[in-house]
Amino acid sequence: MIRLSRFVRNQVFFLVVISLLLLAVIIWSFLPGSPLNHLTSPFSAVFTPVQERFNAAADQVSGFYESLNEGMALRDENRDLRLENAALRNQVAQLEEAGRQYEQLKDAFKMKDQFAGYDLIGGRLLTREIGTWFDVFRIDVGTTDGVTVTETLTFAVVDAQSNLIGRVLSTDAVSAKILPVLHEGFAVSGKVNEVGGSLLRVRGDIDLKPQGLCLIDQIPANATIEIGDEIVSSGIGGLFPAGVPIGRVVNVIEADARDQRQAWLEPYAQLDELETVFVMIGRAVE
Amino acid sequence: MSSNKVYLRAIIVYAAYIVVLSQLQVTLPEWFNFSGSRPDLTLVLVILSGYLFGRMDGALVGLAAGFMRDMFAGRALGLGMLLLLYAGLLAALLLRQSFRRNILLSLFQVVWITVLYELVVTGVVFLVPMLPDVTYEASHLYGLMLQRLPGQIGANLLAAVPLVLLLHFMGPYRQKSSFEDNETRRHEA
Repeated sequence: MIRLSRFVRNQVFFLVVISLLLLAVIIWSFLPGSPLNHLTSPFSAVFTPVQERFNAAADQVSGFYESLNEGMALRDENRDLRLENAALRNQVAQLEEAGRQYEQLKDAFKMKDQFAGYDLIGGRLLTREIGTWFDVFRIDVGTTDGVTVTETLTFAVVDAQSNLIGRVLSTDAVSAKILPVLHEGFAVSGKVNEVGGSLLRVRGDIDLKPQGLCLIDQIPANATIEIGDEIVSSGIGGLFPAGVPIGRVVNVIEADARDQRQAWLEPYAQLDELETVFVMIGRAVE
Repeated sequence: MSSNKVYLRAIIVYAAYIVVLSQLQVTLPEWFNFSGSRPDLTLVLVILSGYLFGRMDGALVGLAAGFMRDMFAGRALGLGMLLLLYAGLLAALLLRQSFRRNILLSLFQVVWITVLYELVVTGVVFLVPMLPDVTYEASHLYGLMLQRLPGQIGANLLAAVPLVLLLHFMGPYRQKSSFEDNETRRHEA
C-alpha cells in the first residue's frame, strides 16, 4: 500500500514537473527570436525532405481528383489556352523589346526598382495550418539562408506577384514559420495606393478569416476610403518595405465617429493555393 | 517475446504512426474536410493510444505527437506537447478502468476529449492575444468554437474508425499487452 501511494505520488510529481517545464518552454519560445526555436532544427532537417515527398504525393492525388472532376472542362479550356498562348507569344516579343528599352532608360536615369534594396529568397510551402493556435505555415527557408528573426527584426513574405502573404514568425536552421495576413495576430501599416493616400492599419480578424478577408482599422477621420481602393504597405515601422500590394477594399463600415470607421480587405494573395513564396530581406540588415 | 523486443516494436510502430499522421495532417488539401473541418489525426492517435494501451503509452505518444505539431504549425513550442500529453493521460485514466479496450467507447473518448481540447485551446487563444490592442471576448471565441465543433467532432470520428482498427490489428503490441501490462507481468514474475 505504501509502495503504491509512493508510486502514484512519484507519477504525479513527474507530471507536475513536466507540465511546469513545458509551460516555461511555451513562454520562452513565444518570445521573438527565442533560441528555443532552434531546438527543432535537427528534426526539421530530417522531416523537411519527407514533407516535400508528402506534398508531392498530395499534389498528385489532388491533381488526379481534380482531373477526374474537371476532365471535360479542361479539354475546352485547353483549346482556349492554345489560342491565348499564341496571342501572348506575340505580346511577349513586343514586351521583350520594351524591356530592353526600359533597361536602357533606367541606366540612363539611374532609376531604381521598387524593391531594389531587397533580396528575395524563394521557398516552398511545407505545411499548412491544423487548427486554432496551430495556424501558421512552414517554409523551407531558415537561418542558413540568412533569415534570422530577432525581437526587432522580421521579414515580409510575398508571393510570385509580390503580393503580401505574411511575415516570418520564427526560424530554425532550415525552416521558418510564417504568420499569414489573415491571422488575428498579423498587423501591418498600410495606405491607400494613390498620391497622398491615407495611412491605416490592416490586420487579421478572427471573424473575417473564414471568409478570407482582413480588417482595416485606425482610419483617420479625414481619410477617404472607398470600395475598390487598393491598399499597399506604407513602410512605416520599417518591418515591411513600402509599396507591397496587400489587397483591395471590399466593404466600408461607417460609424458615428469617423475615426471609428472600419473596412474589409480582400488580400490579393491566394493563401490556399500557395506553393512557392519569397522572403524579402533588406540588404542593409545583412 | 522478450520485454526488450516488445519495447522496440512499440517504439517503431508508434514512431511510424506519429511521423506519418503528423505529416499527413499538415498536407491534407482543403477539399479533404467534414463540414469545413479537417481531422485532427494526431489528437485522435493520442486518444486511442492512451485508451487502448494505457497511460504511459498515451503520455509518451502525446509528448512526441505534440512536439511534431508544435514544430509544424504551432505559434510557439510546448503547447501541443502539453495538450496532447494530458489528452493521452485522460484517455487512459477515464473509462479505461471499467470498459477496457471497448472499441465503441474509444470513439466516445474521441468525442469528449475533442470537446475538451477545443475548450482549452480556445481558452489559451483568449488568454494570449497576439496583438496587444486587439482582444476578443471569451464568449465570442467560444461561440465561434461551438460553430466549428460539430464538424471537428465528425471529422475526428471519421478518422478514428480506421485508426482504431489499425491500432488494433497493426498496433504497437502483438498480443493484448502494453508497456504497463508488460511491466505488471514482469513484477509478478
